[in-house]
Formats: sequence, C-alpha cells, structure tokens
Amino acid sequence: MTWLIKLYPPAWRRRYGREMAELIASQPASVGTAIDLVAAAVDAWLNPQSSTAAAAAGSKGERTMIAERLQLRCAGHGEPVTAKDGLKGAAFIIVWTFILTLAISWAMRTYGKNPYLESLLSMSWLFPTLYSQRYWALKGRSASVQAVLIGGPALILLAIALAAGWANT
Amino acid sequence: MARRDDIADLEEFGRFGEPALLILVSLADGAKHGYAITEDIAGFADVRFGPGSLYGAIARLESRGLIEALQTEDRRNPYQLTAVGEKALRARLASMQAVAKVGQKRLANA
Repeated sequence: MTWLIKLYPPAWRRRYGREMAELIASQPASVGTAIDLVAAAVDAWLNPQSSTAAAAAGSKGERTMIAERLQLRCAGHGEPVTAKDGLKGAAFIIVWTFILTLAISWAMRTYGKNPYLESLLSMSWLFPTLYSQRYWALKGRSASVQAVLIGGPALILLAIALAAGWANT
Repeated sequence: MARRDDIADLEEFGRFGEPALLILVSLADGAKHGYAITEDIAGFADVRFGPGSLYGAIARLESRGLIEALQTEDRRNPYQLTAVGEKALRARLASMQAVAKVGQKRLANA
C-alpha cells in the first residue's frame, strides 16, 4: 500500500514519504488505511505546509544543478552569458537595425519604391537580432557553428523577404 | 489572551485537530517517531490513526513550530515538543479541564 504515497505532492514525499512508508508497512493493509491516505493526499495538495518547503527548495536546487550540468554537456561546454554580453547584444541589435533601416530607406528614396525593398525594410530588425545570438545562445561556439546557425536562418529570412516582395509585384 | 490564541491554533487544524492534540500529549513525555506515537496514542486513548491523518497532523504541528524533528542517523525521525508546543498543550488541557469540571458539576446537580 506504500504506492499510495505517490499521490502526495513531491515536496511532501521528500519530507515525510520515507517515514510514512515505514509506518504503512508496519500496519496491516485495509480499506480504511487506503481511504485515510487518499484523503490526506488530497489535503496535502490543497493545504501545503511550510514544513515541506525546505524539502521543496532542496529538490528545486537539485533539479537546477542537474539541468545546468546537462546544459553544459548539450551546449558543448558553452560559456555563461554575462550582463556585459547582454548589453553588447542589445546594442548590436539597436545600432544595426538603425543602420539597415537608414540604408534601405536611402535606397528606396534613390531608386524609387519597390516591393523587394519594402519587404526587406519590414524585416530589417530581424537580421541583427539573429546575428546577436553570437553574444547569447551561441556564445563560445565555434565560428563554423555560428555561421551555420546564424547564416542558415538569415538565408531563410532573406528568401521569405524576397518571396514576399515578388508576391507584391 | 495567549491561551486563547494557542487554542485557536489547534482548532484551525480542522479534522487534524484531534490527532494533533493526541500527538502533543504523546510527545509530552519525550521524543518519539511516527510508529511509536501511533502505538502510544492507541495505548492511552484507544484510537489508532491512519498514516495519512497522523502525518497530516504532524506536518501542521511542525509548520506552526509546535513540534520539531530531531536529526538522527537512524531512518526514523523522532519528533519532540517545542516550548511553544508545550505552552499550547498546557493551555489546551487547562481549557478541557475547565470544561470537564463544569460538565461534571452540572451533571452532579442534575
């Protein structure tokens, strides 16, 4: 009957599960005990007690640590992102969006409006945003990985922009 | 005034109020783990609580600082009364005693 402990919240199980299992094992199994366990499990979900908070915090900490270790493996030991990296990425997006917008607007003014330039203008912020990933998600990755993961989506975006322009001609 | 607050604490336990009171009484003579508490209560009150009710009450008592778990190397975690728990138990028992005296006096005069 100890399997009924699985009905309890994780934090509760961490704090009292082992003791409860021992107590359940020491008593003869009965319908009354099962009903008591189920009713108390419902109560444990509805009325969480602060005595289980430490167990929950410990569990969360453990999960975070495991997740971080897994992330390090999956990211090929990628470097942690600092606040400075964040500022660099944000500055890159702002500056290059401004430059691209100005450049495309100048081209439209010089060569006249056309659907291709209009389509590129509407996506001018997307290219710098994509490239800025080298400061965040792709930080510490090799140049070839960055080229594939930034260049690939950039080409797809360019194709979409040109297709949209072609559709409007 | 403090006595009334302590009584209110136990009354807030709802259906766990009775197990909580009996757990406090059980721990009044020393620390015990869950199984020992159950056996002790069965001995002096002729009531055997299920594991769900027992630990529902223990969680509430521990959360409100009325009992505390002792760290041991054994798998079992004994619990003991805290100073607050002892105060709450004394207040509760005094209240029950006062009610019992009134009830017995009225029955004697009936």
